[in-house]
Amino acid sequence: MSIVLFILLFGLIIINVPIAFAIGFACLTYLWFMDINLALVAQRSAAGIYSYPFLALPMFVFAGVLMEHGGITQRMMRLANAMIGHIAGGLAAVTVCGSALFGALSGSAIGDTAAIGSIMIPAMKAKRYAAGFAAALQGCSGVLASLIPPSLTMVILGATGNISIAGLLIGGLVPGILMAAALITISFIISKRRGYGGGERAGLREFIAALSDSVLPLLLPVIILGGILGGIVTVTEAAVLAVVYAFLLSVVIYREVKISDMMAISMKVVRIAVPVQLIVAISHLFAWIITTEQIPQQLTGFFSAVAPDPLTFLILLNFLLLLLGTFMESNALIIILIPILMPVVVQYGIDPLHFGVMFVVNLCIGANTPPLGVTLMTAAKIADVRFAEASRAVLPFLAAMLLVLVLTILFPQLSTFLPHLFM
Amino acid sequence: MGQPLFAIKKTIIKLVEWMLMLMLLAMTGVMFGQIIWRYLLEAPLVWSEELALLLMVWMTFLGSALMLERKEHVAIDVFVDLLPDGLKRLMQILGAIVILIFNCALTYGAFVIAETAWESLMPGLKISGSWQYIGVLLGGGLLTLVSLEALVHALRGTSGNEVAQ
Repeated sequence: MSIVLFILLFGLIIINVPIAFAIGFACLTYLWFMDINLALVAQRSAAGIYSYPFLALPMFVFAGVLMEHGGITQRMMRLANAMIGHIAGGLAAVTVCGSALFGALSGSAIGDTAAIGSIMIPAMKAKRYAAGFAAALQGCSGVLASLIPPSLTMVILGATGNISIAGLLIGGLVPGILMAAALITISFIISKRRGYGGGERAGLREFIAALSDSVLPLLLPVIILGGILGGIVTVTEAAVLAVVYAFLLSVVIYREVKISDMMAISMKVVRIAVPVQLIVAISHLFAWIITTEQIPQQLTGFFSAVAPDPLTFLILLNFLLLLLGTFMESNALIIILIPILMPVVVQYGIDPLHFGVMFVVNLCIGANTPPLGVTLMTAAKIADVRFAEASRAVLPFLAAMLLVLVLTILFPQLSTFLPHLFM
Repeated sequence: MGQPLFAIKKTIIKLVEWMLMLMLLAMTGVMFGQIIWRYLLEAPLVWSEELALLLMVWMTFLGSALMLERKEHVAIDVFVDLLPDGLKRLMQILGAIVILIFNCALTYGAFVIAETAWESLMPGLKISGSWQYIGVLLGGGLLTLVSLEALVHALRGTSGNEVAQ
């Protein structure tokens, strides 16, 4: 019966049924065949989203959207430019750092790509960077938002897999910084070779001005991380504080958001958060079926036959994930796979934090792998360049990201050292 | 779609949008209140978390209906785009039927559970436990209407975007 469930699920997804409804219908069919009360659909779905950790999701999205509308993006870009705008391929480095900084505020990869990309891609094109290069770089930089705290992906992963969300948020920091460094290195090499120039070196005065202009928004990640690490607030409460702070900043201090903009902002939050919330809700039923059918146990049996040690298991799994990641949306992939995989991971004695961070690093690559990488597509649209061209330009960046993935797999300390230090 | 039906649809959409905005603000306000009362006034609220979660359930299902209407749910269209037009339309009809069946089941289930849970009490809010399922019921009802409309459009071969005329 579980085979039918999976075939139906993937079949429906392939014929363009929204993922949430594909999961729902597959589960419904299962209940029907097993002669289980269909009212379970509603009961499980409501229970699935009635979850305190998930409350952080709409809250972080809300904070991010407020920030985006509050003129924070420009301030981040100015700071990044003052720091590294002058080196060869300076704009490229600014794109990476700006995305990382803004990712620390917005937390969503596509949002980050769109917000920073709409500023940086035209700027790069004006300075004669190839449009394909600009799109590829922005696509890869956008996913830094999934690794640099606060990351929505980590919240979803933690809540789904019952892994410490705070631990995951902090665990993503080092791989995130490594990935930013790898992207900057690659774009530096390419820019040197193709002669993409740097800008003028910003004086100390400009640097200080840019820094003081961004100091209030930059306090936000400090508040969030400080609050969580200090054990003062829960992740959900930190997200709420982020909304209140972002509201004060954009409405009261910078005055770039008016109360009348609230409807547009709320609708943007709904558009980003609700589709994920629905998948979360409906997948609760899916997770219940997975458990009833003892699929993790069967999977453990399968893996222990082919992969005798944890490392072989992780390598096999990463190949599978890279494949799935190219054509599945990251959040949906997390919500479907994590309940199946977590018991297997625990069997192998792998640290859940290590596994979780590795999983997200892998998804970052999938989000930029042709033919279906979603952030790469977003960036290509902004750059107004054919997807095929961006796909060619993305290859060196993918190689760099793969290197970071390999490091994350081989050295668990990269993802577990910080969380274990603080918690 | 006829003019009166279209006017009703527009009114419902506006109403849902307003509800979503107010629920989002209320969620934030209630949770902020919880923080203030717990850390500053040292008198934790017993109902705040329940209310915020209840609002999130409502937001999820009402918002989902709105997102289905706007085709904003996460879906993968690259494979159907490869198909010839006739087959593509068949898939569209099939998809619309699947979504409609699921939404009917969701609505039916929400009704059954809301009825059963009527006597139960949420410990903090001291209101009936049915309230969270009423959100699912309302959202499910709207989802059913939206998917019914989508099915009609799929069968007629219209996109659903020209209703404004």
